Amino acid sequence: MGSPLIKDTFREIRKTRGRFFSIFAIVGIGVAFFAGVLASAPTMRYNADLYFDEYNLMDYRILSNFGITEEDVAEIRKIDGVEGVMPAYSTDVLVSVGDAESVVRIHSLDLEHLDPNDPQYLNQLHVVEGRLPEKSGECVIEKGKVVENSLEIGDTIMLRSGTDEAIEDSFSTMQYTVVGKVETPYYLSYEKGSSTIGGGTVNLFAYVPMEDFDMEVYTEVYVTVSDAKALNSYSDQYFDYIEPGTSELETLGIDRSEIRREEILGEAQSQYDEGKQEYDEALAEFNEEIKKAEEELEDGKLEILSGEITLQNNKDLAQLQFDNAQKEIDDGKEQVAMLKEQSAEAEKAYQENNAEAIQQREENAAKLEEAKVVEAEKKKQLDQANAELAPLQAAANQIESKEAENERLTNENASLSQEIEELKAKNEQLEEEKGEPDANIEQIDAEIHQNNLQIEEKQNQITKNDALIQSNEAAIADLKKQYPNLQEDLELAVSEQAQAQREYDAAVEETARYQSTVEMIDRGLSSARQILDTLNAQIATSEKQIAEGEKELAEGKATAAEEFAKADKELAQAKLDLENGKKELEEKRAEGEEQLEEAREELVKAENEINQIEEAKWYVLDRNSHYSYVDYRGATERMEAIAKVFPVFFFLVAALVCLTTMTRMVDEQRTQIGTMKALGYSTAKIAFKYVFYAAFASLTGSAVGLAIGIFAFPAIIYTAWNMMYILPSIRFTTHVSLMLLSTGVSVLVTTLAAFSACYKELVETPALLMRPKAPKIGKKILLERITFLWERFSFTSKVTARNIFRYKKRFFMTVVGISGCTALLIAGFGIKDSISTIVEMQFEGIFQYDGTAVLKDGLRDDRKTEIIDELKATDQIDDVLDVYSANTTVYSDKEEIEATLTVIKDTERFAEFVDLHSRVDKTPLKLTSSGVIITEHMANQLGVKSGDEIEVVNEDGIRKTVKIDGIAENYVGHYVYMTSSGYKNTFDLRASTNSLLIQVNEAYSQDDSASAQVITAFEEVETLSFFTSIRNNFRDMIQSLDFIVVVLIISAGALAFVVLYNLTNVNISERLREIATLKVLGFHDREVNAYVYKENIILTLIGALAGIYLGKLLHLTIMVVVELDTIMFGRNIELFSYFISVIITLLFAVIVNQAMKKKLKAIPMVESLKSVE
Amino acid sequence: MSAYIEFENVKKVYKMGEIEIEALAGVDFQIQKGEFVVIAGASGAGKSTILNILGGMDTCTSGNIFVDGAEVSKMNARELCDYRRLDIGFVFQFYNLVQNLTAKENVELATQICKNPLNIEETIEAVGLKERKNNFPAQLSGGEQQRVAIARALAKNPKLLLCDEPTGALDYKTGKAVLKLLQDTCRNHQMTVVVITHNLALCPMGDKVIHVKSGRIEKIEQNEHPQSVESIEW
Repeated sequence: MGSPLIKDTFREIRKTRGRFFSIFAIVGIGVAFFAGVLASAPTMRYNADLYFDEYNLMDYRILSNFGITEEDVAEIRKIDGVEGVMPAYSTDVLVSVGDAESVVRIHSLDLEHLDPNDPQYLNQLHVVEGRLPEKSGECVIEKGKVVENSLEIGDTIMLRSGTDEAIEDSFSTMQYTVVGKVETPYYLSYEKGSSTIGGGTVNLFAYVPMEDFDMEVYTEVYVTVSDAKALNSYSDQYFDYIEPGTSELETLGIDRSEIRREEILGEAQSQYDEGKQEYDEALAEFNEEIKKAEEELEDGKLEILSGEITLQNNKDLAQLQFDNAQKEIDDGKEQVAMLKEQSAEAEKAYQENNAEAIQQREENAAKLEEAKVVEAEKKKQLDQANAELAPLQAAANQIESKEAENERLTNENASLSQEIEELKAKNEQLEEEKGEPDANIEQIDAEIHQNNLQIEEKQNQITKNDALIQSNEAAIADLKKQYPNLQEDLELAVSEQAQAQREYDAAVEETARYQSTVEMIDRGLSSARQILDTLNAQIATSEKQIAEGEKELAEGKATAAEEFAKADKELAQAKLDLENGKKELEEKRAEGEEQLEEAREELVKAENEINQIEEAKWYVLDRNSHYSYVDYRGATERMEAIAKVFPVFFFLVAALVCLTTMTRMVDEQRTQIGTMKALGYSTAKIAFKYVFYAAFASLTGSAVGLAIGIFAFPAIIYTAWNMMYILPSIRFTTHVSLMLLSTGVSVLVTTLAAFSACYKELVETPALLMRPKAPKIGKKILLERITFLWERFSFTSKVTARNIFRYKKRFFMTVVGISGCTALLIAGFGIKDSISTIVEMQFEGIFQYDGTAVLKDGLRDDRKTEIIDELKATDQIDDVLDVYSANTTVYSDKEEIEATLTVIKDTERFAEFVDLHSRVDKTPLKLTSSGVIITEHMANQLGVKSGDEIEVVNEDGIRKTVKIDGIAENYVGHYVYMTSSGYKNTFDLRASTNSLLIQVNEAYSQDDSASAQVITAFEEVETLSFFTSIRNNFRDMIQSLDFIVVVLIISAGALAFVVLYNLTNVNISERLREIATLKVLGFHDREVNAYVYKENIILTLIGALAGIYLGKLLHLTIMVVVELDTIMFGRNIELFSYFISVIITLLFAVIVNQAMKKKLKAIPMVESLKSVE
Repeated sequence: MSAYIEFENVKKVYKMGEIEIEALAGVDFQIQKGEFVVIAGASGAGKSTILNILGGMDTCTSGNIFVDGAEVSKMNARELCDYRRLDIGFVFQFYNLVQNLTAKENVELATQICKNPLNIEETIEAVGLKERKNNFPAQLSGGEQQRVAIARALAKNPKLLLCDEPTGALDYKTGKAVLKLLQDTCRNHQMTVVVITHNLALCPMGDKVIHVKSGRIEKIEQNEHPQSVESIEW
């Protein structure tokens, strides 16, 4: 190997940088992918083990169904090779977090051993926020990853029991303050395993001080083995190393558990016997009470019978009495009829007898009237006489009175005159007195004056009286002039008046006489009438008496009827009471039987429990039984499975790229090879150049690829898995063998490709090689047969069409590469689609309900119905269905899986809540009364299909074989569905419903709290969980998938770029002459570009189409591999994802084309004049 | 300006780093429409440069070139492209057929891009390849391939047929047949044909013979009676 050859090779590399770059880049990408992805799983395991070691994860967890005693712990410490021994408590409780009930696994934390360097402090906690508990009543909770809990430091939580046992049996303190948030290698995954309470999965873990537990025995003991940390616990060496410890612990377990078992067994047996006795007693009591009740009912029946007879008798008696009364009434009526006859006769006689009397009375009455007329006339005459007499009498009287007055006045005047004389005398006396010396002149003058006044007054009176006397005398004279014959006239008038008076008196007397006659007659008539009336009155009285009698009878009858009705009613009531009594007895009997049945079932369970005690032992669990350890190992295994898919593909593309590139290179250097050969160089030496060229490109490519890939991919993948696992940030480890392997493989593949490319040429003779290689003959292709189409093709299309089929290597390289690009894109977008649609498919397509409420144990059926009806009546709740739901373990020949058992009472109604159908053909599944339907992911893991048999363990630990009726589409969780009759047939126990499936009204579906309030208002509701939080968690997870898509797009782009770049490069170098000729012929740049790129575009399209299928396959592989234990990812890819993937692929092609345009433009036309090499 | 094609003091200088090489040191000649012109000279004399510049594949450093009244020397790249496309028919020494197209399709390749193409069938018949028109170049002999190339150039109906050593890769007899075809085309279709050759034996067949030497015109001969190809021997 002379230096000119090496020199030539390096010059060749410098000259053909594009070509070199193609191989370099594809190898770089391939190696980066291969080494990077392959290094990921070991890196993950390395990091996990580091984490385990740093936080002292236990090597063993020892459990016993009787618990572990202090003595047990002491015995364990004595074993050689045991380093740390940490007895601990753990139990699952219910805690309300926000609206929801969470199942929280509470672990004990020994406050005495909290030093990280203390070998006795196992499963150490890493405090992320806050601090560790320092005293009773404090706790730390998990930091959480996928499912962020809403608890914060400072919050308090209240523990509640999820089982029949009181919380006080396990804890001395029930209320805890959160003082910190922690992570621990004991829990790597957000899936923390299953629980027998609440929703069946542990939602949260928490650590409380050991002293706050109040249990007789430890629930578990954690143990570490000395010096085991030196080994990676994911290696076989680790398990080989700890193996002796395992058998020693197991041996100890057999001895210790035997001692413990004896105690427990005795206790359980006595309890069972007690229970059995109680049951027998209860049965006897029940039978006796039923008997008593039946007797009472018999008595009641007799009473009713006697009552019926008495009533009949009373009715007969009353009838008799009524008949008598009726007869009396009839007699009375007869009498009245007789009296009426008499009365009629008397009336008739009265009418006849009195006719005469009446006539007389009429006559007298007429005369009386006449007499009254006469009397009135006489009265008139009398009045007239009186009237004539009156003025005469008046005048006479007037005269007489005036004369009398005058006489009186005259007398008065005389007396007055005398008085005046007296006064005058008095005055004279007074005048005399005046002359006397002591006389009071003034007083005397006043008295004189007074007397003079009186004299004057009396004289005036005399004058007045004289005037009156004169007027009276004038009036008398006047009257005497008017009635000159007054005296005679007056006497005549008086006599006439006396005559009239006499006549009138006689007329009055006449009238009185007639009057008395009439009255006499009237009296006679009246007495006759009276007799008749008496008779009539008698009749009336009798009739009245009869009416009263009749009324009384009617009333009597009515009263009797009423009383009988009452009696009848009472009797009916008594009969009804009897019926009710019977019914009640039946109910009581049913209830009693129910209770007895329950008691019997308890005994069945208890018996089973005792049987289980027989099988009891210690469980010495190494890390292979540790959920997080195994879970994470599963993740690394899945990662390794993916790692196997990608690199093969990249190496295939690398080989094809290398092959096409080297083939072209050898073609170009045909003459040179011939010359070398002619000069006498050996085949090996000539081939060396090309093999070296390829090897150099792939070596440098590998170096760069390794430098990037071995760090970038593990980092990306580790971080991606950390979406679901809680581990510290990445620490890198070396992967020497992997690096050597990947470099070796890539060099081998490329050099082999290079060698195979030149080998064909090298075997030819130099003479042949010196001549230009006959151009590859153009061939007619199938498309040309379709003449009408072919003729429409432009020459570029024709050339392109023929070229595509002319160079098969290039065709495959491009199609494989581009399809890989599209496939990566589809897989990337598809992963997102599949995961994002789980939510919709699971919680809208399959689960048609929105949440589950778990009811307290032992509720009566009628109460459940009430709760359901009341919930349905609220606005917030649309529909509710009760089912029996419990945790179960399902066993196939190879696997066992924790699942939820749902027992359905009403399959038709259940179909409205859960749509059980097969995923592929969407046919609804039917349950038989002997089989079960299980969910798809579980069926896959168990390796069973419809028609197979599996074993199912019920809540009470009874394990039975059932047939699979069907496999249902399901994404989240594992479910076993069976009918209640199926359950009864299988376990010989009844499945009493204990959970409510709830459909929330559309209007309230956005906000759970309203509906939650309605449901939790029932104190019978123990826990309530809605799907909303799960949905939100998924949404977050899907968002973090974005960067995986970005990584895939970048990889896809790199792949597409290298492949298309290489294709174009090879094509251009091969067609240099043609392109130059076209330019000379006057083709525009655009037309020249089209001539080259049409091929790229069409190959890209073919590749993209092939990529759709490949992508689907890749996606399916990835989805199956990365699936979680309890979550099945979808298998679907949205149409849009296919579309966008193809578009992005085409975009890459366009970008490469644009980049290569310059190269085309630079081709000189003079190339066309050169001779063919 | 009476000439159909005119070169006026055309110079071409190549710069190879520091060194300047004068490929053409001032060339003047005229060609009339319908003439059959032979440009002859030894290797490196500058005849290929003349061809490149006349064919629009390269530009001159100075001087003026007119073809049918248009000044080619002033055209930009785009205009040159159209000039090649519409006005020039090229016949290459090594035929330069597209291997992946049949004889007929190679002719179509040219006609698809020009304005007034001749009938393809007739053109192919004219070059005597009617029977082989559906064959691929690899299935044709060298002479036949060159005929296809001539048909391709003719079918464009160009103003000027430029032939670069058209017989260079052909044997004597075939070469003669090709030259005959070119001469007949010139005579029958009044096509201006420029043949570039180092073979001086071909000179008598041209209407005009331009001898090039060291980047200059050595002499221009005008043959009053150009000989028919048949009578020429070499």
